[in-house]
Amino acid sequence: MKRLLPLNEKARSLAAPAASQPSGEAALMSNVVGCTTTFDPGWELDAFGGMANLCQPIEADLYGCTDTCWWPAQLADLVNTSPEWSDGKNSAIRDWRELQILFPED
Amino acid sequence: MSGALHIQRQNYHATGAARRRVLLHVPTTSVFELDRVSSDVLDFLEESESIVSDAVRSRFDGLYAPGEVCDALSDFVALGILAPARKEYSIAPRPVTRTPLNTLVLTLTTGCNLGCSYCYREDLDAPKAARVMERATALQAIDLLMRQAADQERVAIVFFGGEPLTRFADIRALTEAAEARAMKAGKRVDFSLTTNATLLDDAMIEFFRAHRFGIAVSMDGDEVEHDRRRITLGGKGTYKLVAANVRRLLQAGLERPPGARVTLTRGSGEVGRIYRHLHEEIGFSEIGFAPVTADPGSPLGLGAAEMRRVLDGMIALGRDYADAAKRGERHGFSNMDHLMLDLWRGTRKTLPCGAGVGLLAAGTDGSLSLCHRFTGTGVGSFGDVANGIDQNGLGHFLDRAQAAHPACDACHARSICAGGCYHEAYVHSGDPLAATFGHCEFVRAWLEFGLACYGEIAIANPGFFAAKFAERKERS
Repeated sequence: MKRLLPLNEKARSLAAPAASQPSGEAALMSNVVGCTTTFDPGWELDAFGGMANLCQPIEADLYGCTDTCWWPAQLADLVNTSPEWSDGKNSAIRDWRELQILFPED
Repeated sequence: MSGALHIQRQNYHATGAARRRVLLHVPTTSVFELDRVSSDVLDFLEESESIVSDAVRSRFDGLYAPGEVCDALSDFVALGILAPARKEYSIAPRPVTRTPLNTLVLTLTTGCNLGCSYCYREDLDAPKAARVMERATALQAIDLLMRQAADQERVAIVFFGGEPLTRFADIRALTEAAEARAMKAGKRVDFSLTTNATLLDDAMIEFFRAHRFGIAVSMDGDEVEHDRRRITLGGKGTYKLVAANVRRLLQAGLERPPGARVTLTRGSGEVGRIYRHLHEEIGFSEIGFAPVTADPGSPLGLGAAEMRRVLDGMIALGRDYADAAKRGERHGFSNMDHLMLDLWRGTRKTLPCGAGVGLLAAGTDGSLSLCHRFTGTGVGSFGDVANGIDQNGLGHFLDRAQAAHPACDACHARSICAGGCYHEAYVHSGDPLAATFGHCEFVRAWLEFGLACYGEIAIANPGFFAAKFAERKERS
């Protein structure tokens, strides 16, 4: 309200612009309680609802899930059984097609 | 601004003199003070009904800066007072599927030792013929209250009658039982009662003080005034006895000061004179007035001319209230307190009162009614204390109560009044949900006056309401 002076609480709540209400602030998580200390964006969509403008390609998650401290996803265990799975295929954008499926006999 | 904008009269009401205009935003019960520019712009809108930018420019060019006028217009647009097409802010009726009780009225007896000629009770008996509420029924009622009030920290029990003091032994026992049950449920319980004060003795007063009772005494003014209608069954006046008992009650220093409740009937004296007698001579610090509830043919009822006289008296007394408030002093005219509280809170009612939602009344047989006025009437009950609330029946009633009469859509008092008292409607027409148009002028005129007073007080003494009502919040 610019020229009407509020005289009761209801009027004050109408007069206060919504923008001046305090809102929560989103901060990037840099410390995570648990085994991983990195934050790998990947599955999210970009601002346009697609994947072209993500700050990392979705394939980065493959590494995120398998690296030294792997998440319980169906991916190669680089610590115990398949330490060479991603050797020489270090760029997700370029090399992700080279990552192979593992079979029990391997 | 492109195209025409139309004034939306259903969404506001402005009152007050040219330089001290107060605007009620009806959909939200927000109250604003208009400054000079917005007041002039509103006048222009009211003259023109619809406006286009050229007309605004030619009216205000040279009077105010374009920015000032645009600000006022944008405020009115923001409030839906000015819009390209009709703007409504109706609230769809909400189904009421549970009853979060906080107050239960216990009709301890239908017996009364007086025979006041205007009493609204249909089931009133002489004390010997009275039907009384059994202890076991009352305890079931208290249990029902505790159950229904699961989410409430505070509950209230009202002892009612008949004359509740004819059942003082019950009051004593039930108070203690309710306190024990409340403690177990982790709640605080408040007690109140309405009495004619003829039977009040020192032991009762001490008990009421110890248990922090809120007490309302029915008293109609000085001896002549009071004894016209408030008489014993034998027809004798009760003023002398009541006045003596009330003086002792008021000297006892109850935590919640007892209030006087005045019923105005045909031929009643002037409101201000009654107030001064009860305040200055008797010592009440809170006094409320209500026109008698009487069917249209009754010789007691107030006709249009008398209602106008009552209103004039209330306005004169309300002026005293406003003057006192501006000086930071409290005034005991409780009708003004209620109206000021509604405006301060910005109450928007979709139901006229809390009956059937936060409040129910148990009759002597344990049947549940909307409020104390409906126990023992022909209006069916909504369950009973043994079997619980008839949630379907009550929900259906409240659905219908929320559907405002079409005439209310254009009324600026609708957010405060919401259709008026069910019992008034019932007495006038036999249907609690009928519209009672007889009161509309009174309600609107009283709101009009109250709105102007609210503005004056809020401007002259901005902290007054917060200080006054914060206290009330704590109590009620």
